[in-house]
Amino acid sequence: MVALREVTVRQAQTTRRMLTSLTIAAALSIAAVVGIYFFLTVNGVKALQFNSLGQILLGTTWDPESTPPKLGLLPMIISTLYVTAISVAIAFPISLLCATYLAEFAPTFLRRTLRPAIDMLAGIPSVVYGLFGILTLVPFARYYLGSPSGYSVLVAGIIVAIMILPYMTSVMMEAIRSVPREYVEAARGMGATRWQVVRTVLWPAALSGIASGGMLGTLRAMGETVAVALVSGGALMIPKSPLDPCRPLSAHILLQATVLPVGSPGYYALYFAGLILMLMVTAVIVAAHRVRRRPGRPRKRRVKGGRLNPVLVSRLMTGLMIAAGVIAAGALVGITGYIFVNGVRALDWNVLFGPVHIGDPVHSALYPALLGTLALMFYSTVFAVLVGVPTALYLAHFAGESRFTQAVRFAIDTLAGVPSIVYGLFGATLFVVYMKMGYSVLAGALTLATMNLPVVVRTAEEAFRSVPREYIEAARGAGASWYHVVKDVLLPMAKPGITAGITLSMCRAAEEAAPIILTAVMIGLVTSNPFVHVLQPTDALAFRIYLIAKEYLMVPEARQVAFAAALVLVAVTLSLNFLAIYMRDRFERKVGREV
Amino acid sequence: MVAFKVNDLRVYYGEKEALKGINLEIPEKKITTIIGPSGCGKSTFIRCLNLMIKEIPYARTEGVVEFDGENILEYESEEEIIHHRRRVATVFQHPNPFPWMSIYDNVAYGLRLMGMDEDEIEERVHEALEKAALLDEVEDRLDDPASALSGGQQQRLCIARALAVDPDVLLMDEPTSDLDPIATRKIEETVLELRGEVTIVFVTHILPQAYRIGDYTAFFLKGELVEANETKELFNNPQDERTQEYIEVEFGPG
Ligand SMILES: Nc1ncnc2c1ncn2[C@@H]1O[C@H](COP(=O)(O)OP(=O)(O)OP(=O)(O)O)[C@@H](O)[C@H]1O
Ligand SMILES: [Mg+2]
Repeated sequence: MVALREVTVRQAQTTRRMLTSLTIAAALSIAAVVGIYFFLTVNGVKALQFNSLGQILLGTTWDPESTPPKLGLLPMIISTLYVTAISVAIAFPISLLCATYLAEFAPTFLRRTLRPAIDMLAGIPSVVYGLFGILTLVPFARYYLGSPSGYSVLVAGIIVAIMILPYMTSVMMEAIRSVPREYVEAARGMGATRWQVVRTVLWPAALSGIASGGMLGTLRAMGETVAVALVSGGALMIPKSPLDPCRPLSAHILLQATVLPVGSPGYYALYFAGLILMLMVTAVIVAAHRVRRRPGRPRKRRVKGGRLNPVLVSRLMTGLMIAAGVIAAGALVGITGYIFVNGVRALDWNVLFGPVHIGDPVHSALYPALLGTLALMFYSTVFAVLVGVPTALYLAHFAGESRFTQAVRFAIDTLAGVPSIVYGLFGATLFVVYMKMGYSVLAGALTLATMNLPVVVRTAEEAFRSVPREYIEAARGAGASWYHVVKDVLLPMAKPGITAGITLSMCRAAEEAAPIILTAVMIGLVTSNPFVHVLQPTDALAFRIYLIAKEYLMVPEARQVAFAAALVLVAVTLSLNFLAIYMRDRFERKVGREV
Repeated sequence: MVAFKVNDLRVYYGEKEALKGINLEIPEKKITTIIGPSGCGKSTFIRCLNLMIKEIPYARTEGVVEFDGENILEYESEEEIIHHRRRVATVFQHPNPFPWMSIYDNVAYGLRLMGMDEDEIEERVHEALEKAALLDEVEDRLDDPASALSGGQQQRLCIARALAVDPDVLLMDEPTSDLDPIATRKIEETVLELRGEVTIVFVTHILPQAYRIGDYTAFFLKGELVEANETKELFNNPQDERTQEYIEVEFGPG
């Protein structure tokens, strides 16, 4: 009896300790958001010591070294808006039509194959899109479209459009698929054509989902950095036509952050640029949340095409949807195929494991970059999981509706919308400078971990939540402490879901070049093992590709190395993504949800 | 006059035979009630009359459903199917007005699909609401969302939506099973008002309801039509002993 009592007391203590740790983990995400805004604002505002607000926002000259410095950001602001507008204008309709086709028209086997394929494509690193753009679309625009250099708003817009297509399609498809069948049946039963069902039932009923798909795509387009930095041309001018080169805010931060000395006027102006980017992002989020059809406002518009044969219109629109699908699939298959074919041709033993030449990204073997990427993936995921999984557990099962919980949720949502380049700025200030880590594996991993926190929290929370209540109740009913419920029920049941989150986080750590360029990499100093010497800078695949594409394409063997690196990187991210999707499906089956 | 003439109708869901050779005539402008235990194929039968069976890719039909001199099961093109559905309207078990549309827009839905002009639509919307006995209750809030109505009102809204296109036939598949007794009564009254105007096929598993409103009644069991007759006759003087048994159990003796 005494023994049993002691056990109970001990378990109660363990449970209390566990709850405290969960709460602390959850609090860290609030700290991250506060930190990001704090550093952006504190540093950004310092730019106002040198130039007035008007000079920064409306100035067209960027010359941070002149006296007085000229910190005009207008060309960059306009470039961001321009590229985003073009990419969304291309990608939104194509995604919507594609998603509608896949959700409603495609035969089941096609949907079953394409759904995971689309999710996989979302895992192609943006630097690879950039490489593709530089080698194909840029020359095309130069020779056939009459763009002066080929580097242009248009090419950037198209590349970004292809990048955001899978994201938008995936979200919109889920939204359309979840429209209750009874509404579709009602409409079909009234003699609506398939297209009329789409127009009058599926789209209106899925409106908020479609809007959030559009929002996600727009956010990515705005924040996209590396690909845009590669194909936009980086020109410091207001683009007059889509064929002119430009320099969006994100690219501007990337290009200047490694050049400008810490504490210089231009350095502060970059934080100001980061602030502007954050403001734009917030505006998009707010706008998307407002898109919700107020139910039942009469919309007495005359039915267009009443004279046209509706069945014919329906057939035309179905054809259009298929065409959109073919365009999207063509673009994505084209890019993947291009990388695979060229990559396989470029890959050989020497490129991978040959000698390392310090300071020469073209002739140096790739293995240090691969090692660096793996180290960044590993450490960042460890950090993200250490904070993210407890946070998720807290949110899923231990959070009441307190202020604190709301703040944590808000923090996670905010973090999910922060562009990766802003994480780079944050990491460069906090980890590299203030915490004196310098450019290092550790600083890069911590930065990536902060960026991946929302991904891990969201997937893990969902996994914890979908553990059926009856299992928890069964354990509780048998007298298990919460600690044991977590250990014996929640964690094992949610494992595939958590693993999916972990793989996604690893994937993002591998593919994001912008944050690590600001915090972790340096070509040439890489002789140490990045797993051991975490306070040394490192090489990384995404960075290597970026650097070659940006500066070394003139060198004869440069392409070969870039393609080889791209193939290795894509192999890493696609297999991780594949694993994540596989895990998700297994998890959905485990908790008995329809796939 | 006969609205539907069903001849040896068989329906397969994949391998499973859900209707096993149905022969039935459905009289025009009368109320035909269809009764039978759960899973006996009542809904499947309805789906053959409005061709919603064609929306299920793995469903297959054999036999003849004659409507207006044509075997509608042979309709393959979207034109033919849609044209048919505009003459044969359906009210489903679960009230399903479109929640993102106003009351008015819900009723106008089918008319707008046909490309009718808005002035005429306005007139027809009022007529349909009147027929569905809903006009008095919603006249001054036609622009409110349909989701603001009660369950019974929503179902009558669905009846109005179906009637607005002026169909020849109104199919109702257990339209009151989600409703409370008062709302059920109201629907029954509405249906009785429509007798003589449209052909009504009314599926129910509540025998007193079938008795109250039916002119004719068909009894389905395990995919077969056991017996069909004038309602009073079928209930008071069942010919088949399976019918007798079912009625006794469900209705209580007498
Ligand atoms: N979409 C479908 N796919 C496969 N089988 C189906 C489908 N719909 C119905 N069935 C099967 O066909 C048979 C008849 O079903 P139906 O829905 O027509 O019955 P019902 O008489 O309407 O029953 P209830 O009173 O429960 O509505 C049942 O055995 C059912 O399992
Ligand atoms: Mg049924």
